[in-house]
Amino acid sequence: MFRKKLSPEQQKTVKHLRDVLGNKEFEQFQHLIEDEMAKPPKVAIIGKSGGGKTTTINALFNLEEKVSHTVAGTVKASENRIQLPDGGRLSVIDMPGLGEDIEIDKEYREIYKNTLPNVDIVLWVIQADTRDLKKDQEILRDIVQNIMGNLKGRLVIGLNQVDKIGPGNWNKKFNYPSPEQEDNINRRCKDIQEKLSKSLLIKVEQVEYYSALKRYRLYNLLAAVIKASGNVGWKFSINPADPIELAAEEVRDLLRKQLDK
Amino acid sequence: MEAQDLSPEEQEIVKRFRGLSEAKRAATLASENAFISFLKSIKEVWEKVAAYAREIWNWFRSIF
Repeated sequence: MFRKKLSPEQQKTVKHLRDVLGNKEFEQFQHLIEDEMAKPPKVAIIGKSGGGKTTTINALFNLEEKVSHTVAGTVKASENRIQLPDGGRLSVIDMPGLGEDIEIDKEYREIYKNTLPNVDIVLWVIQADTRDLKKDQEILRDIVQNIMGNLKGRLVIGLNQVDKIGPGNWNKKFNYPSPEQEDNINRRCKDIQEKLSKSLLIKVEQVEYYSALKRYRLYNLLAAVIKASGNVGWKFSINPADPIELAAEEVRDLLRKQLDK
Repeated sequence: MEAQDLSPEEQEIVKRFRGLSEAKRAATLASENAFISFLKSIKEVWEKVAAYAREIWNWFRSIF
């Protein structure tokens, strides 16, 4: 279980635990943690093609850009097991998209009914600047009320691609929205958060806005995912892709200093 | 590059960047709380380790 050498303080914690639990129960506790870690958290990811599902997973868990965990135009739920950079694991289940054709939807709804009750979290990725929010809301309401039911606490809606929201421009030097753009992003997205929360009867914190491509507000999305996952939320690594790496080199040190304040 | 070399707009961006630290803390706290919830679900262990739950969390995070 110990992949790294323990520091004196950590050895003290381990000794403490052994004293409190007793050797036999400590060994059982270790096995329990190992068994739990062997069961990766399951994330069902839903969203239209081009909405950024793959980019979202890659950015959230700091994976290689070229690795696609979702299948374009998928017609079934396909599971992909991923090894995370820090040693943890994740299972991503790519769900077929709804809302394209009524007849196909009937078949897909069966897939949703069979799959969603068995996942730890459902991440629904929508483009934040969508003109089709009403349609997305209708589909979401159908899924939440008729399929997820009392599992709706496991849903997180990700409003992606906020870097495209205007007025205002994305500042490439700092890889951050201009103040004007950020104020518009906040205003627009908080409005969507309220609407979706009321319409779907979910918590506002279950709707988060971000940009996977620009690595903006990934910790906010990750926090929402962890909270919605309940007792397995601790299995997610807290190591999203670093936005400072996309900023101009001459400002990186300055930005890193801000994180220490 | 130093802060005084920046335009007013750039200085404002740098100030807003500090939100990243708060968001990171929130995600870490959410993870810690989830771990403690998990420990609480194992009654026989929780009764004995409740007082050390956060220590166990720090240890767990450092070894994975």
